[in-house]
Amino acid sequence: MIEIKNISKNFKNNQALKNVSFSVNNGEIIGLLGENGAGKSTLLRIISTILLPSEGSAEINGYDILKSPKEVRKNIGILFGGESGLYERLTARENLEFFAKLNGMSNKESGERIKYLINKFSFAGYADKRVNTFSKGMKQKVAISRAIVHNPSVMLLDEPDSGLDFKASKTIFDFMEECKKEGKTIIFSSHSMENIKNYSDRTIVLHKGEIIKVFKISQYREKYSEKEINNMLFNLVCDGDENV
Amino acid sequence: MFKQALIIFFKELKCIMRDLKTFFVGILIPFFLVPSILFIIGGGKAEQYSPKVINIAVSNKDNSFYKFMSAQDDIAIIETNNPEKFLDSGEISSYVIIDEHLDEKIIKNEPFALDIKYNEFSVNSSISYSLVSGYEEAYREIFQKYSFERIEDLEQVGEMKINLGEQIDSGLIDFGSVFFVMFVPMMLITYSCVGTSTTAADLGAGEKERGTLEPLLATGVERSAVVLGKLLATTFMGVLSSMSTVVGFLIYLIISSARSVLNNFNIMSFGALLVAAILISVFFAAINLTISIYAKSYKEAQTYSMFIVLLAMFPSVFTLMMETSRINFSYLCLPVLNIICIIKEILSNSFNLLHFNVVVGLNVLYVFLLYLVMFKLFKKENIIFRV
Repeated sequence: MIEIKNISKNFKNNQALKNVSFSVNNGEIIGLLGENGAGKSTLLRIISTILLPSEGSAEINGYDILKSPKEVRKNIGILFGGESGLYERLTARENLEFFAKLNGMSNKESGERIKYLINKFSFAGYADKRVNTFSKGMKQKVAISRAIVHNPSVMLLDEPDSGLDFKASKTIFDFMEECKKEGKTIIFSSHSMENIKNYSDRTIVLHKGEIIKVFKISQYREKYSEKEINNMLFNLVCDGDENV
Repeated sequence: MFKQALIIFFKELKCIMRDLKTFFVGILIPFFLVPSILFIIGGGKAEQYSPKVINIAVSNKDNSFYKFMSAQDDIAIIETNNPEKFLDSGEISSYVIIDEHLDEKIIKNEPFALDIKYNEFSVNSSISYSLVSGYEEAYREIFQKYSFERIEDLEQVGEMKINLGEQIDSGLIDFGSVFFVMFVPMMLITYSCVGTSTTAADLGAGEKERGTLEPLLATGVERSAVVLGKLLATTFMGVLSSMSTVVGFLIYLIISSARSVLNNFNIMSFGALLVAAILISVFFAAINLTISIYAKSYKEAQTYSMFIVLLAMFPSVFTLMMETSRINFSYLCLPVLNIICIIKEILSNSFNLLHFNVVVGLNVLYVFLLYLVMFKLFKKENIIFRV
């Protein structure tokens, strides 16, 4: 369960987020849509306690991000956008083991969980190779595994489909669906409208730091064709046109 | 917190050891470079600077000092009309200008002049100067102990033999030791700083640049543990660098027969030198890591660290020729300079436990204060995310 309450964030002369409020239920997947610089990554960083909000607050499973950041971090797993954030001189398995240890997992627990993730995301063939030899797609699979190695109940995934081919991307989103069924809360951002449309229960559109639309794609599918929906989403994301 | 810091420490070590560049720069280069540099500067074995006979010239011969010097086995007086030229060419090592009325003044118990000239730019000449001035002192002491009433009595002085030359062989001019005491502190300081700067830049600014810091901070780990783990790893590399420098010194000591140092160098001195090396490594690790945490990029961190290396050279150069007797309490309070002082004391066999304890205590305090600064910086998002 995530409760975002009037979050604003200022960076020097730039207001990255303006009064952002929404909530996400257990077993729900939220898709974040927005241009580069719309505030998606900043929002996810604030929820994960990496950045502090200038105003407002948020609660993760009842823990306030300002008052109990440590508890919040135990409950979340975050994949950051951009660089994979993996240690290149370590192997994929060593990366996962390191983060499992930092999250307080025992060797037995982490061993089982890592084995599960390696099989789930199909990287057994290169699990014991150093990350600096990996392609972007390979790194992305390991980075996602790293983010959720401690089996968190809240998953924040910033562009999980970045650099992945169609098959790998589907594997990731199928996995998210499984997690949803287990009651986990998921927020993900993506530049792929298809993935947002196909996998999110609700979509939040951010434009210049503000939420301009929250909707369920199913309500449009009854009235409009896919092409029309794509055009509407395009106008929303790029021009902030709320009259959709 | 300590458990988390250790997890980070061991991870960092694994990453560092897998980077050949760091391994070469931090460990192998000082191991080979230090003895090589000392050999180049010190000219290798000490014995080659210990000539059996020193050539000198004198301004006039008709006096007791000429006779006294002629009587010495390790002094040869060369005839020349142009002593300056001979000094420059190295044909003589010293030129003694003797008071024209030396013997008369001695008899009258009046002060007399003996002016020794030597070539300041020649190592051999500088060494010879100390021997010749030793003879001059010995000559003057004779007249403090005995009085002579007639010039004829001064003939006895010309027959006095003083075996100052033997002291050359027993280590008076032990150049290996001289260079060792002069340059070891400077090289240890330089290498501790260089050895920690690469690692610190990688673990602080490098981690920001690679985007690995955010996932790390998003775990349950405390930021103080992250800082401590990184400080331990940087210090470890600094200690390895310093240790390989110390081992390089030992190789030089043994090969160069730097007897003065070698004879007085025991397990305790080695242990004290090692503690000093660790102290300086921890200090530079803390300084370089603080800079690295502040820096936007790896390159920026390295630029700042180069400045620190240059800054660290100042106290090294300042104390290059310093005698340990000149060490005062204010020197012991200044970071870097204080460690140079205790290294010099250890190497010159004038170890002072009080000085050592003061320096250890103060450095622990400095590192703790730097740790607090690092921790403060690490909590500021505008610092750690200002890539």
